[in-house]
Amino acid sequence: MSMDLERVKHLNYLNELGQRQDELDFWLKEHLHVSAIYWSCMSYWMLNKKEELNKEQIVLFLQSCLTESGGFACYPGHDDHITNTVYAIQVLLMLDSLDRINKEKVASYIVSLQNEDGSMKGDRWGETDARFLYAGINCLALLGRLDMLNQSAAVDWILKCRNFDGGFGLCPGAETHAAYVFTCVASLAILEQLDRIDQDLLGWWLSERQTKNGGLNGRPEKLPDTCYGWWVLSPLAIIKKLEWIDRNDLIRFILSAQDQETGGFSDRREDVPDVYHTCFSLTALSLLQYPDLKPVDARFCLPLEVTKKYNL
Amino acid sequence: MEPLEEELVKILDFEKYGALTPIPQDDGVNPLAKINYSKDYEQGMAYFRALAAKQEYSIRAFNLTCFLIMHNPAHYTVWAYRFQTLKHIPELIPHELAWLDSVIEDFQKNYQVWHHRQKLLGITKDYLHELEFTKRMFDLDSKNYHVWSYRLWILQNFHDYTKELSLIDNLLEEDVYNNSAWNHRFFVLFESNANHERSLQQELEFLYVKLSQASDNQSAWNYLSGILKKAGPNQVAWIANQLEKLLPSSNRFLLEFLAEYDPTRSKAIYENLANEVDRDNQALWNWMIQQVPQT
Repeated sequence: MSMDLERVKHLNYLNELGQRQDELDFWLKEHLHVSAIYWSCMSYWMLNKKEELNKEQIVLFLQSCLTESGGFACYPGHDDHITNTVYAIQVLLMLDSLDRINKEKVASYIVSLQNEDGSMKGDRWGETDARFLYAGINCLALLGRLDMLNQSAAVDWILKCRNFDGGFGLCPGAETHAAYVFTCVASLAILEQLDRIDQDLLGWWLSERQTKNGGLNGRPEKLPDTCYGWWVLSPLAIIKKLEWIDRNDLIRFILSAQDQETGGFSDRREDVPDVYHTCFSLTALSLLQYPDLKPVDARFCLPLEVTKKYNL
Repeated sequence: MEPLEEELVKILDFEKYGALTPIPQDDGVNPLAKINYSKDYEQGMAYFRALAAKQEYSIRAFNLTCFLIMHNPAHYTVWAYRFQTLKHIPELIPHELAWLDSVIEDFQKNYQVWHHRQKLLGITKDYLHELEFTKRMFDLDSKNYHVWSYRLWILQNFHDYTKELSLIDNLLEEDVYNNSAWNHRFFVLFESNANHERSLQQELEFLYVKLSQASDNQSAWNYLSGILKKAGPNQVAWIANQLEKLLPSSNRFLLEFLAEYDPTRSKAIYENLANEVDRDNQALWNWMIQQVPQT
């Protein structure tokens, strides 16, 4: 089955995100709101439609998510968290609007979450996870304040998350999982420490994620999912081994996950689409150089033209 | 003003705990993609904000967090408040685990519920109960990443590794391809400070049995590569000899292993892989051929 990228349908899907009142669990997603803004901004940008973004409305909303601590909440009136903070800063950078917030305060907030062993908490309640360290590193880089991070402790901790198969887990001892490979490898790339890892062994493990139907999974024996298109491809791109994956098979898999009625992408064909899988399907297709998509920076998951503009 | 939902009237018990002025959702200026709430959740959150504003850590606050969590289990603010309430009313703690057990099946892949459980263990210290609990969870899903991370945390904080090998052995009996179990095995035997008496040779023997049962087992081959980094040349030779017995084979992992072990055969094996056995990965094998030193 030959299939094209249904650009018009995806744009419709994105345009209607705020209006689909009948989605059963849409009202549960308050905690994902800032994330959803990032995912939809990236999706528009990948489709070369960034002019559709209502810049002022987005900036005002993000400003209203700022908390006293300096971090961003998922929605006005909620608690701060590092993941919302990095998403907010990424979007503000894309919209050339970092000057609309107190950058120093956000950077101090991030740094306050770093533990002595180099790892990072998600918020004051202490949950520690490699995702949060990546969020902190990404965010500080965008704010131009990586100097405030204890970089050597961060790198040491990341390297402790490395496993015998060359991949990385959530914390030292945890099983290698593609999402954590992305966060750890991208962290090392931003900190310019990629020479500390065995890139061949890692490339091997990543290339093994491709399943018979062309899709990528996150661990051996698990099902493929379009979002692993991003988690697996971006570290492969960073270590310059993208050709270790069969490009055409993967493109076919990702395109098969498009919803032909509503637009948007789901995790795999015939499942319900959502903006998260839409974002990462488009960024994965961009990495695969699918025609007429804007290029993406694998380290930051931001448009390449943005990271170039800001010398990142 | 909408009348308060009945369930919330019971939870908020104004007679017992006093009046409360709800704080409605502030969507900020020009709400972006305004969220469509269900009435009872919206009302519940309005009262939650009121309780949080006055830092009331009461039974009604606790019951309200239950209500809200059942509507939206990923609401991290509510979980955090629930935990604070438990610290203020420790008599609630013994029941908390039973409640968590009852909702866990619905929330198996939710980060907050596992983090909450972990914080609770920090208070109760009943790690044996939790190890047993994770074992039951593996019956539902033997690869649940949250459960494995939680078990790892328990081991790293309570240092009792006595049940680990038998757990792993059982899981591998059920499914020899279980990558989580193989990862845990490596952690317990080679990275933790567990006291155990397994020798490297015993592990190689174990691996040989498992690989001869299922030689297409990516996880087992990765495990083998991992432990061979700790092995001496005799041990490497031993396993290589054993694995030769599995030839002839079209198993790419076995061939790859033999190519790495014996550089004199590398090129021929990689060519075989590139052109016959594993054409899907031709690009990889051709790259490997380039890496073989010219002699």
